[in-house]
Amino acid sequence: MNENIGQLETRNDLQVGRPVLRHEDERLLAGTARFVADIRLPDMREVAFVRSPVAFGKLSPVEIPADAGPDSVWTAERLAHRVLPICATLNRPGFHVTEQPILARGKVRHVGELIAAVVASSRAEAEDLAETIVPGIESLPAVSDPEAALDEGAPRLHDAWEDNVYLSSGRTIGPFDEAVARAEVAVTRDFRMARVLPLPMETRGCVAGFDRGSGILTLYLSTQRPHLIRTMLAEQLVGIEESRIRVIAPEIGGAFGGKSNLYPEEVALAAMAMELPFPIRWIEDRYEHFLSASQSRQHVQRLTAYAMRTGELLAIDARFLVDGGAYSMRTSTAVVEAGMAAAVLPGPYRLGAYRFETVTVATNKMGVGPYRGVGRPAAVFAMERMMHETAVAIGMEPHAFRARNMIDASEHPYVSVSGLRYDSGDYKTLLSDAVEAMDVASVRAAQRLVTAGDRRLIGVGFGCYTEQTAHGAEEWHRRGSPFEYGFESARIRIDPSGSVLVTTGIKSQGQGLETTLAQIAADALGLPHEHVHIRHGDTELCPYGLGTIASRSLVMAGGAVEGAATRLAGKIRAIAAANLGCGPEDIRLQDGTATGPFGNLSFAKIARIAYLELNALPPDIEPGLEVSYNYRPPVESGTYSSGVHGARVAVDVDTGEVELLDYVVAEDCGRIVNPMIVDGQIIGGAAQGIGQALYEELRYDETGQPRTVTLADYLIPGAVEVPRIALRHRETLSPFTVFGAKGLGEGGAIAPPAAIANAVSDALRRYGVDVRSIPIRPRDLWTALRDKSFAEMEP
Amino acid sequence: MKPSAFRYERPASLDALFDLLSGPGDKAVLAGGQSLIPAMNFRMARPALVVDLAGIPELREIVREDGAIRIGATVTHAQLEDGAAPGPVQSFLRRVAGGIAFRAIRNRGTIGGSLAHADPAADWLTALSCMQAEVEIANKSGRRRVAMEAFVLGPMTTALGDGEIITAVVLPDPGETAFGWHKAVRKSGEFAEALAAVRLAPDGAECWVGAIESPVRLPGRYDPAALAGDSRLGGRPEFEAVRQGVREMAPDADDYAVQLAAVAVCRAIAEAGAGEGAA
Amino acid sequence: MTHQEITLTVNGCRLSAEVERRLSLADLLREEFGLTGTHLGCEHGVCGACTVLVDGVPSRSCLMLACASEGRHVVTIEGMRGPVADALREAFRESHALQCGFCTPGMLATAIDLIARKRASSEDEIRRELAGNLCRCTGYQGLVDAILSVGKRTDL
Repeated sequence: MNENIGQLETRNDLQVGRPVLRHEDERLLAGTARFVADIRLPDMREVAFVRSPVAFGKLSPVEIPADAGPDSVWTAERLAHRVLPICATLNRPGFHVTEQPILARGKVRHVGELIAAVVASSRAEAEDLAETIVPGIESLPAVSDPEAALDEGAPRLHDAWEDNVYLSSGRTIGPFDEAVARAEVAVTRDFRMARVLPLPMETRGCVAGFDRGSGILTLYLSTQRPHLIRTMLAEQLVGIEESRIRVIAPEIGGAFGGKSNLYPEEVALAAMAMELPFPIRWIEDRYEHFLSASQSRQHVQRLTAYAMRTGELLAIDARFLVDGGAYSMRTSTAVVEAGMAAAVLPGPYRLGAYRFETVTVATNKMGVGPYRGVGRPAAVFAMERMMHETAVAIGMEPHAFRARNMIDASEHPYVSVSGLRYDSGDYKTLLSDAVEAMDVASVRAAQRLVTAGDRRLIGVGFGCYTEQTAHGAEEWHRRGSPFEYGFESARIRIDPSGSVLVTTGIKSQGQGLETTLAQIAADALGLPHEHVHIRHGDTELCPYGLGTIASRSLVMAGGAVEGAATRLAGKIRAIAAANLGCGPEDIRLQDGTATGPFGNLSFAKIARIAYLELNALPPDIEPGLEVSYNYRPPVESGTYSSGVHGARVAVDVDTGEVELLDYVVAEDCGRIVNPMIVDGQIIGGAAQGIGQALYEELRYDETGQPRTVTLADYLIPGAVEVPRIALRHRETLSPFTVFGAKGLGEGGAIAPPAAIANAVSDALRRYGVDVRSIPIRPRDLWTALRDKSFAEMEP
Repeated sequence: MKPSAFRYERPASLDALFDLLSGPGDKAVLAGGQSLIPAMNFRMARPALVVDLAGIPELREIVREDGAIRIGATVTHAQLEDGAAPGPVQSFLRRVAGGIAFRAIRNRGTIGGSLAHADPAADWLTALSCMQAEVEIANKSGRRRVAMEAFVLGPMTTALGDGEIITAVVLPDPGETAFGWHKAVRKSGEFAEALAAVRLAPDGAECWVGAIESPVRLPGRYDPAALAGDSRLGGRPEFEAVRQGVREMAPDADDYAVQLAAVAVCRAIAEAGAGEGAA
Repeated sequence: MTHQEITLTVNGCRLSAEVERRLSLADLLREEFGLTGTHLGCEHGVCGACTVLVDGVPSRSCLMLACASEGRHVVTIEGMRGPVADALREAFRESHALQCGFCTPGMLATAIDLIARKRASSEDEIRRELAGNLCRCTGYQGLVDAILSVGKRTDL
């Protein structure tokens, strides 16, 4: 069932596959959508936090000012009976657990860690009160560098640990030593990738209220995973059971992984709300966000590639050191990146031998969470830089070296050397699409004319990847995840008036799932998509689900919606057939009407029969018109999207500035449900990747003080920095998912650092400079170029 | 990030303003607020009294004065971008103003506010130094005019004393002089990493450099013809002379900052030489 | 006394409130007047999410004081209407110029203004004009396409 469609085909009789305009847009364009900061509850008060000003220190018990009103200042002691510390676990031997108190006690371990909470009538007044609380902290020498964290005498963050290592792991797979011995070429590089963060335009926030009568705690929370937060809150809070907790994720202003884990702030708010007779809210400000929203992608890498002069890649030796921050978060933990990076590194290549070692260390920084792509941007950067440099060492055109080693479409399903099972893909076609779009030949022609007096040097580079998406329980179990995100839910109800409501356990944060899931439901039911209303985010309304992360939602929730809708359609047919004197197989569903050979009935009429006119309902058909379905993918190792990014750059030799001239993404996410939304996800992801490649870095000084705490310090790309991105689509269907669709949300962010770094390295090849660190800073390029002379001959 | 509490006054005249400024306690003068309010939101500035200039109409006026142009302190960058200043200064002012931050900031930010704040990376400091502007300062007792070099004393430091405000910037008639301008930014709209303003004299280009330091004039005059063209600057004798000049002016700056400043100067010189100083 | 009474026109209506002097225009609109369509993304003037039209021109409502806005005419996204605003909304939808929607109110204010100033003649020009409005979701391409298409229209 591996259909490889050359260009996107839209089928006119169906809505899936068409660029349907989004259901979400109207309220967003009207300004009537409600984000968490827009929620107003009667008598609501404001919370501000007292946060640690130092990176590492011994904390004395916090003194509450004598003139502070009752219940206005909350400390660890005050909340002790209500909350348990966050201890994120991982089912892998050797993993060290951190114990993070909700409000700090004993020690503080990163700037911004919560020390106390204050409540006041306004945020300004809460900040006034917070300022009067000066925690007594005896500073300790901090660990602010991952390599320093490994040093023999390094300060130890966690008393119960022997060192600062969350987890080390390593494996040698295949005939590695033999491959090394046989190799004719060995290329080694050390790389560094700076710490970054997802930085959605909406910061975090939480509104919490406790109704004493019903014992129900309600939290409005800007989160990607309302049900999981609810489950975790029930574990973190003392004295309340899960069924009395309601989490409502309202409109979310972007998340990208940064709003998927459990944060101490919401546990604190929940606990305080349970003790207070009024609701409270905390809206994170941007400064807090830089201090205490989850961070990602800080790697120190060493790789060696072994190859033959004929272009056969023999082996890769990879070492990743990841800066995991001070505390592990639930559920991804500090090691989420290292594990994934090692597993995905082989990418779309046939690699016979692979040795990897990963170490994740604790440092006095905010902890690590998933960010669009997670470990893949680092792995792809490392691997694709090595592919480029190895090709250069051999004297082969980099894209030809890649093509020579790529897994062929016909070899699928293919189990990579690291054990990932690629279900389908055609990487060579994507590569040739990207090569053609970048017009490599003309770049080479221009480069042959370059002289030492040229100021602007052009280069072209590529980044190729496979992406595991919508993986199920087996894969999460393999990773040791305490929660296995193995299914997704949907419930569809048609009301007596005929209106259609779909509820699901995913939570869209801009991905347009209200539209794409409506398209899927509408096709399965035989309705115009505009008549399908999708709701998500409210644990009271929606069936239990695992939220939107890991590029899972379209495949998993799509599968659930399709399953529920198909079953509901069956019931509609049965009721219609019974009332229209024919068999269910004779009933056709279209435009909200069930039509048989002898007549038709609207869905509204069928619903009335099912709810209110049971005399017309056969006794063997259960009353009501509502179906729930939980989808578990038949294959749990994931369905694999893939892509090739190409970048063409100009580097200014006098300043080191990099200009992005052209950018192409050739991608394959299987069956496309909404091409407009797919394009938007790719371009948006690519913009974040461009940010990581050229602009973004979170800097900490040697005492652990964060130095990038405003949007003037931490630069994210604006409209001038992101070029027009060309897109090429292929659809290599998954053999097992519903529709053959694959996950897509993260792909765009995975390859830009690789493609751009390769393009810059290509441009500067005549000077013998290649990119070793991300972001690519003009000052670093200029400094590297200073001592180098222009190579007159082609090497 | 909410500011600490303060009193707010909006005087309707300069006399009323000076009365307020002579009172006790920390005060801040509010012009456009685009620098002051962020500082207050971060609680880095905590004035007890904020005095708003918006109620004093004379500060918003632009008038000709015997060939010079007098621009009131609360004239916004957007007004200058849109050509509010008449005469030969107009095109260079439009060019400089249009490159400041973003339009929404320019709609509120003022030329006087920018000068009083005296961030070395602020466009007006360098541009107005090159234009040989004078800053008109007023206090309770009267007014005086100070040349830009005497007004800017260092990063974030000016000749403004307690109880004084800038009332206007006065630009002499530049005649046929060609100007050049170059700003190097890491990202569009951001503060300059390097800033150069150039005026062409008969014997070469006079150059002002900002951003790495408060604006300084480079010694010497430079030949635009020697800096024209697309090939690399590094290695050309004229470029090395510019770089050496920058290095002397900023002995503590790192090599890359000096390089960036030197490149900015050269690009501004080339632009002035090509007669591209107009908007 | 920390409070002050202010009156201004918002979306065509004269509104009054008694507010702390340190209250920003953004918080006045959101908290006092319930117009939550204007969003706060940074409170230091960089992200542009809070951009509204003040006396006809885009301004950062997070950097204006409520009490300094006395007598001004403010238009927020809830009140952005008319041929250009309507055309932009339609174009935003058709060009997929929004995903999460958080930056959208500021984008609309900026777009209305740049069309009025005739700064939508080329992609490069539009991108420069949009530099003060950050978006983390879309990569800007849909926004540029939308504004380009409205800019070309001669019937508005």
